[in-house]
Amino acid sequence: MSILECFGQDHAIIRLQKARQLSRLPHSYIFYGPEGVGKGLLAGQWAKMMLCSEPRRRKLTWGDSGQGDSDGLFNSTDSTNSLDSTDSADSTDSTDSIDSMDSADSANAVDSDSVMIDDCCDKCADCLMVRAGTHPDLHKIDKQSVLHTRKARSSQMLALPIDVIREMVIEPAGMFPSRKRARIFIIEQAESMNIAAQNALLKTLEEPPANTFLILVTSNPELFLPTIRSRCQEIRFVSLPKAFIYKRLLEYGVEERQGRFWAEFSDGRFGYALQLAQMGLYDAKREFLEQLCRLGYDNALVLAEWLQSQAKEFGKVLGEKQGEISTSDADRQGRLFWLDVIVHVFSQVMRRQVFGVSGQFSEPGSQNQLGQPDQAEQLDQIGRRFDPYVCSRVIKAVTVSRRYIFANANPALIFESLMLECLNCARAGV
Amino acid sequence: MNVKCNRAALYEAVQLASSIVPARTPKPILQCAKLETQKKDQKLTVIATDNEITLEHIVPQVQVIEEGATVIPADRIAAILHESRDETIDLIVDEAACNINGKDSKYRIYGHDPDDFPTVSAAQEEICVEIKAVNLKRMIHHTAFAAARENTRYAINGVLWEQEGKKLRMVATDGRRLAMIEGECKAAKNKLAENAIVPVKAMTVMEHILNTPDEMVKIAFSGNHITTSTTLAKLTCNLVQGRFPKYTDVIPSGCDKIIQIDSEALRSAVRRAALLTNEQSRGILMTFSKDQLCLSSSTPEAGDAEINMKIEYQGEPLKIGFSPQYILDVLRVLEGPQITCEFSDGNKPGLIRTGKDFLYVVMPVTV
Repeated sequence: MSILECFGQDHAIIRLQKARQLSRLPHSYIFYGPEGVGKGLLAGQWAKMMLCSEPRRRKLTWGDSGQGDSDGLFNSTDSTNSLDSTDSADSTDSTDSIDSMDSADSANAVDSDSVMIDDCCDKCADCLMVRAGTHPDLHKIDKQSVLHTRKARSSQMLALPIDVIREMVIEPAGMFPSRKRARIFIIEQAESMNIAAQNALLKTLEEPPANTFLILVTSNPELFLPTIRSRCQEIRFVSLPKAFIYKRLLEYGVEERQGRFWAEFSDGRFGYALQLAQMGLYDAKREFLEQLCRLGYDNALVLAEWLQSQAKEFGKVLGEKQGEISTSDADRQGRLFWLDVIVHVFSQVMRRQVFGVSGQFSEPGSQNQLGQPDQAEQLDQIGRRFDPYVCSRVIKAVTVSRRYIFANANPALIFESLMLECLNCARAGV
Repeated sequence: MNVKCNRAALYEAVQLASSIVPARTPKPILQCAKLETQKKDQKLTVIATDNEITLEHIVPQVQVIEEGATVIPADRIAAILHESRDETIDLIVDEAACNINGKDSKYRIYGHDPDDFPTVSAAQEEICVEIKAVNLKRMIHHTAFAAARENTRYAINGVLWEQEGKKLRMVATDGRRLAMIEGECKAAKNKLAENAIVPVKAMTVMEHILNTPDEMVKIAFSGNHITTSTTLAKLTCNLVQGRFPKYTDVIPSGCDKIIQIDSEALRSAVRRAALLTNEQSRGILMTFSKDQLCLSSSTPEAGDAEINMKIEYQGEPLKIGFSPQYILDVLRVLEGPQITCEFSDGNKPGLIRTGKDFLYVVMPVTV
């Protein structure tokens, strides 16, 4: 693993490297951008380089497909579970647009060829310990860290409480680094720090002891207190090209048609796409779309209940995969996923009507074109009932539902009211 | 790795190691101990760390047949050794696991890769100071309790160790009280003065390894670390960053009211007076008058308490309030039957001394 693993984030890498090469490295960074585009990955790799005993200079190039070494993004190469089905009958219609992506890839490699970056050596004792997750000077903190605090309370792990920040950041920050180079804190999902935790962190963020660096990783920097944001340098991470995601998914053994769908669905968030593809949600999504075609007042509540149970199922699978995640958090993510599916479906329907059958906004040959959308027939069928204006109203209704989810409203009611709202929109539109 | 060792000796080392391993950690390997053997010196070393403190303990009476290393959960092996009744046991490590064989028992424990075990900087330390174990233990005992916990002023979350020639001084404060003790030590010729701030947790572990009273303990200061070594154990610990406050300014001078008090009687009196304190009114008032000390506390909603005790005092009457916990803390660690209290005024800090080398400053509170 190296910094070159963080494909597509040239901008972020170059900014970090510049600051380092001018020896003007700030003590605290906020890494922000969509979920699953490599923020946590780059934070980890950056920390590894800072702790490495012999960092090497190398060119910033993306190799053949934007991946440095062979290690996977999430160290889980056993991704072939149940996704090996070879049924790719109706995928031939779009192969040409996928082939064109190879050339587009190299075009994306910006002007970064001339940029030299520092990277870890991946050989020294420090690098080995970082890889094993045991480096004494690298502290990774996330929502699950609360389980390891002294007063480990049974919590729903929906937020990062102050105890975690005190025990795992503020306290160790006061000590000299164990291996003399630096002490680095990476706070994942940092936006979930509650207000008390954020306030507690201010002093450390403002004047950390020498050689102490903090990286706050978030997809939602707006949720930080202004006092936190003003103390950190912010680095934006961009969405990855869909073509890249598609290719990487195939490398992980995801079946072609599914890969194309998840790449399209994930909107440039590779981590998210991979997670979903590995959870085997594709069939459920197909079933949902078919049910949506038949949506009426008689079966709206049945569909709502189905969504609710699917969200629970999502939570269960996620819990099995991630182990330490709390059930409330996993279920919440399940509900958010299904809202994402609804938004995705209606935006596809809308696009097909506005931009014609290709349903694509971008010019031909661009990296974001993946050919025909999945289940185009069903999309058209929905399109007959929902015109673009109605679709936009549905999407708006989903954003409201999303807010309810974060406010811990009754999930069954959220889906029911959303399905009924869809029908109301459709009728009003007609 | 293949080694035959004395069970009791190994148990002692592993038990110390498990006192360091963190109870809860996201990194399971930190809950393990590393066992390492060297054939040349016939040595088995038990290593444990919590990423701040690292303890290396040598196990005496071993017979190394083959060199090697293994990393296995500390609490497991401690439990196995505790329950076993064998005189000696064999540790045999193959590819994936560590086998612990007794007379009638066989255990196979799956461990981690020894290369993944965190190590602190391996730089060679220069011995700076040597001090008798019993003295060091006493100094730790007299200061560690007074240090701050979880204060955002990092520097006072540890105890200041200051060496000046043949003197080693330890100072701890939490901003409201301060404890200081001095001890004799043997310094290396080229080391005139050193200082370091040592975290409290490390000092409590250190107390446990100082079991042989007359042994000379070697202390090495090296920038980020302090290393304390006895014959068998070596404790390396990260130091606290920052600048320790100028403690000399805090120690009051020119106190004119000097009172000898029996420490056990005072302890009992303070405890009794403290019974009627609560969150809002935490202080107890000490009123010194001719040959008498009156301790009183009052809480508006609960009631009043008054304890009288006889003392020898001829000076002017004095009223001064203290937080009882701060007085009890120091009375708990002192050995002597008598303490000397020094005051100058009701709103100036009070001073408690025992012997020539220990002093304790405590700020008064308004009662």
